Amino acid sequence: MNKEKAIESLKTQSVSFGDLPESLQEDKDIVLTALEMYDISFEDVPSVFLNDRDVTICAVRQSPYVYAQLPEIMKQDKEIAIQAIEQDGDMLEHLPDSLQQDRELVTTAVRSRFWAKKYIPDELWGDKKFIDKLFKEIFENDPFLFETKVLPPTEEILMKGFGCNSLDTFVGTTGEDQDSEWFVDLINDNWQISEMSPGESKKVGNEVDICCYHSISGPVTEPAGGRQILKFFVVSFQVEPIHMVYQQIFDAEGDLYGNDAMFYGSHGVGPISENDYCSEMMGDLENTDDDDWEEEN
Amino acid sequence: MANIADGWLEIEPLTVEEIAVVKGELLKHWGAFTYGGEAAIEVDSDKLTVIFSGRWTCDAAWDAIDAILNCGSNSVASSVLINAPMLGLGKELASGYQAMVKKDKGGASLKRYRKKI
Repeated sequence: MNKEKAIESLKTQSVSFGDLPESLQEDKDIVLTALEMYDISFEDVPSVFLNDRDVTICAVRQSPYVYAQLPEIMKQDKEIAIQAIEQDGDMLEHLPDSLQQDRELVTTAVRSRFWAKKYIPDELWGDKKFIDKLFKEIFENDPFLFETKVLPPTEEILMKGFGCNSLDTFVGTTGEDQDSEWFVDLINDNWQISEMSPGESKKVGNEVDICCYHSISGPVTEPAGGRQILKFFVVSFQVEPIHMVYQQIFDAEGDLYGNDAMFYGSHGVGPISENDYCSEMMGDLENTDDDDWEEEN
Repeated sequence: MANIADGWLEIEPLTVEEIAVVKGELLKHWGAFTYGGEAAIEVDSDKLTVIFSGRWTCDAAWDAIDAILNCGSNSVASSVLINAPMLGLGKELASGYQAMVKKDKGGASLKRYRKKI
């Protein structure tokens, strides 16, 4: 098999890179084709190409997480870094110090993934002009970041975030007296709930006293107003914008709006660290006798 | 909307490179971890922890891990995970669901346990 035939076969997936003769496996064009076709991953690239810029860019384009494994000299390459953080802003964590200070890269990373902001170095947080500009731009492009407390969720912001001209899609499904104003109130209520601490109770909205409780191991809580809060999923709110949680809810089954309890119960309340969460679950595990568990078939 | 089960899976020890590989592979199966909202991958030294949610149970997440474990000898992620001990727990208290998974180094699938009621 010659080179041209090998490339064609890789593109039609009629042959795998591993099946090619060694001489062809060390051909750069063939390696690039195999990477582009996802036939191989970076780990499979022959060592002779590990410092090859074109191959590295191709591999990072295939999977941004490859960046974390690159030799330092490749990590210093700004174009390669951009390829990685454009796909996953969290790769900002793996950038060398010099590039982590690069305002263009930081902006790209936070645009890609808002919570990459935790990897912004302290020196840049001190540049108030840059930080203000960065978050103003990010917010304008993602109005659902209202949980950052930049702005409350108005009807206009919600419509923009959901990419619709009306909120009617989200109301009128429970038989209650609902309209877009009700929906905005609902989101605002949940915004308030998200600010509450474990164990805190307060009046939210017009009728519901919410008793916040982290229900990882907790009891059913029954607030005034007849809405039960069966449980709270405390982690999701901590790690991603809450609009993702809402999106999940809206995509779910039709009985959603008939069950306010689960609506409230499906996103986070109050601050709890992921470590605390794991420790609590681990605590349960450690306090459990082996006899309490039976193996599934 | 169904009830949401909370789950947690710890994989260790892993090298930095292995963590990157596993993280990338988990994200390909991310739908299995995000029923109740976005999930999280926490990395602490040589330990990777996935915090996730599932629909009524954590079975979808366990299935995804098993699928990665069994995706073939050419898969780096599969090899890495087979060599890594794992421990996980899942709960959905309203229905009384409590599950635990364990895997020793070299194991090719999760051992699944249910809490006796």
